[in-house]
Amino acid sequence: MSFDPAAIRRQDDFVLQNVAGEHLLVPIGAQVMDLNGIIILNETGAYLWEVLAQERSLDELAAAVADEFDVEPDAARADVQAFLDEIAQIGLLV
Amino acid sequence: MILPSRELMPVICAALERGQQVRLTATGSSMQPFLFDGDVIALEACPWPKVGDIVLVRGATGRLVLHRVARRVDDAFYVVGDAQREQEGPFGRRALLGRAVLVFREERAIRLDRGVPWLAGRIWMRSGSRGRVALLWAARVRALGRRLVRRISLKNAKGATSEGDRCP
Repeated sequence: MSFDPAAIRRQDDFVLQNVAGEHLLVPIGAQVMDLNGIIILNETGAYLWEVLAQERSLDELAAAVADEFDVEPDAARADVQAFLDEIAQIGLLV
Repeated sequence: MILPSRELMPVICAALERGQQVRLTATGSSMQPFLFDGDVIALEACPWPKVGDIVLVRGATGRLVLHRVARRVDDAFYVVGDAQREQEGPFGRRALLGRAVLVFREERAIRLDRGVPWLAGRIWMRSGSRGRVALLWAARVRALGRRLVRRISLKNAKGATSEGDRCP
C-alpha cells in the first residue's frame, strides 16, 4: 500500500470526462496529453474518483462503494483497495 | 490521415486550447510518404498556419483530416494530402484545430513544422510525378547515408571500447 489509508485524496491535475459512454481521466496539468496512454475508468472507478475530490479514509470509501453499488462491505473494501493501489502506482493520488 | 473517433475531438480541442501538446495515433495513407498508418503525431495549437504545415482541420460535415496546407487565400486556406492531388477547402480560422509538430517513428522524434521534413513536404506538394520520384530517391539516399554514419559510429565506439579494455 503506497497511500495513507486514513487520508486519501486524488490529484487535481486530472479531470474525469465522459466520452461516448467511457469515463476518461484527462490530464490537464501535464505539458503533453498522450491519447495512447489515457486512463479509462469503469463505473466504480469513476464513482470513486468523484468521491476522492475530498480527503477520505479507506473505510469511508469502502462504505460508500458498498452503499452505492449494493455489494458486501468486505468485497467493496477489497475492490477499493485494489483500485487505490493501482492509481497510487501511477501517481494519481496526492 | 484519419484521426481517433470524433468523440475524442472535444478532449483534444480543449487540451490544445489549454496549451497542451496532444499525442495521438493517426491512421490512413493520404499523407504518405511523410506520415504512415500508425504513426504517433504530436499536435499543438496554431493561430494560423503557413503553407507547408500539416494541420488538423474540421470540415463542414465534421470530418477531421490531417493534411498539408497547400495555399492561403485571404482569411482561408486549402489543404491536400501528400498522397493526393485534389485540394480541400476553403477552411477558416474556426476549422483549424492544431498543427502537427512531431512524428515519433522508430524511437525517433522527427520535427514536422520546420527543417528538412517541412521543406521537403513543401517541395513535394509543388512537384509533379518526376519531381516526386526524385525526392523519394533523395530521401532513400539520405536514409542510407544516415544508416552508414550510424554503423561507422557504432564500429568506432566498439573499437574504442575494446582498445580501452586492453589498457590496464
